[in-house]
Amino acid sequence: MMENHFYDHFSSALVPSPKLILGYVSYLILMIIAVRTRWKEKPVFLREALSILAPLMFVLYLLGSYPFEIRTFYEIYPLLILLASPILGRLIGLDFFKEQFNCSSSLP
Amino acid sequence: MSRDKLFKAFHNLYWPIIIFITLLVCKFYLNGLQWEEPRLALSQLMDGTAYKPFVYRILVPTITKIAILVFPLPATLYASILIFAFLLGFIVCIRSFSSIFWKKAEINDFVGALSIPMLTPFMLTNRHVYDFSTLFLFSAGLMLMAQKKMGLFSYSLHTCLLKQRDNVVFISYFFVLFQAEFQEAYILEALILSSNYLHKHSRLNHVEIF
Repeated sequence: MMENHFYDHFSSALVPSPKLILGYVSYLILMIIAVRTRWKEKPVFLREALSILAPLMFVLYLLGSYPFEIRTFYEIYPLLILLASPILGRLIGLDFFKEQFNCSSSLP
Repeated sequence: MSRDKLFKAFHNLYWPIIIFITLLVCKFYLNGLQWEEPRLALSQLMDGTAYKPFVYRILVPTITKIAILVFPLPATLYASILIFAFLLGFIVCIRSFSSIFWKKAEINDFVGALSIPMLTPFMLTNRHVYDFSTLFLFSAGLMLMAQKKMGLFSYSLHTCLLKQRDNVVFISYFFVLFQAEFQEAYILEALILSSNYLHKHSRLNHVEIF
């Protein structure tokens, strides 16, 4: 089903340039802050799906991806965007929380 | 111009702007795409000689193959059109997904537009012909799950989960049955639903890692 790349994560030969690493780390920090802020007010479905998928995807990334091959996380990208948007939208004056439907329904 | 007028103007021109930006992103993406990458070249994917597990990612190669049979043009042209179509399809999908949770059109416009620049870091190191099809199918699957409109897939999944109560057997069954790329998205969804089922039937109501 997949190639094993676990040991590649400990190999210095496959590490990209420091600029690229810095870019990825900045992106990761931005996403964590945007997703984490006002977490409990965000739709339950998105929170549950991310909570279940993110650890699973991280394990799959460690086992089956090259170091920094973040395209592996395409599967959780829609969830990240939807969870980060309410915070990023505030930068241009959009109030997501005021316009939110009653999103108490969770995963089917 | 007031903020509301600006949002309204953006809403009116939304799709032309999105199509234009998607074309630009796609051009950037295709410039760095290696069509003849060793082990998973487009030609190898099309004739089934690519290495495992890449050979199972058949959606784009199969559509390309059929399109060439109907109207012979270069395979890379068809694959490029499909990459563009799946990227655009993803944006349509994420905007629609957003409308499940937020009612205002300007918010949904913003989510759709934001999904393009935020995607850039994902494209920097590796690019493959099947990336955007995965992104589109998984977004569509999640959206259908949120709307509880999973059709046959949902029905069979729930039947298995509720009646067999054996997730290991169920997941193995899916791994055996679904090897093609367009079904890989559903394997992960099966994992989400089965994990959720386990949590709901244990003492934890919600799993929260944050």
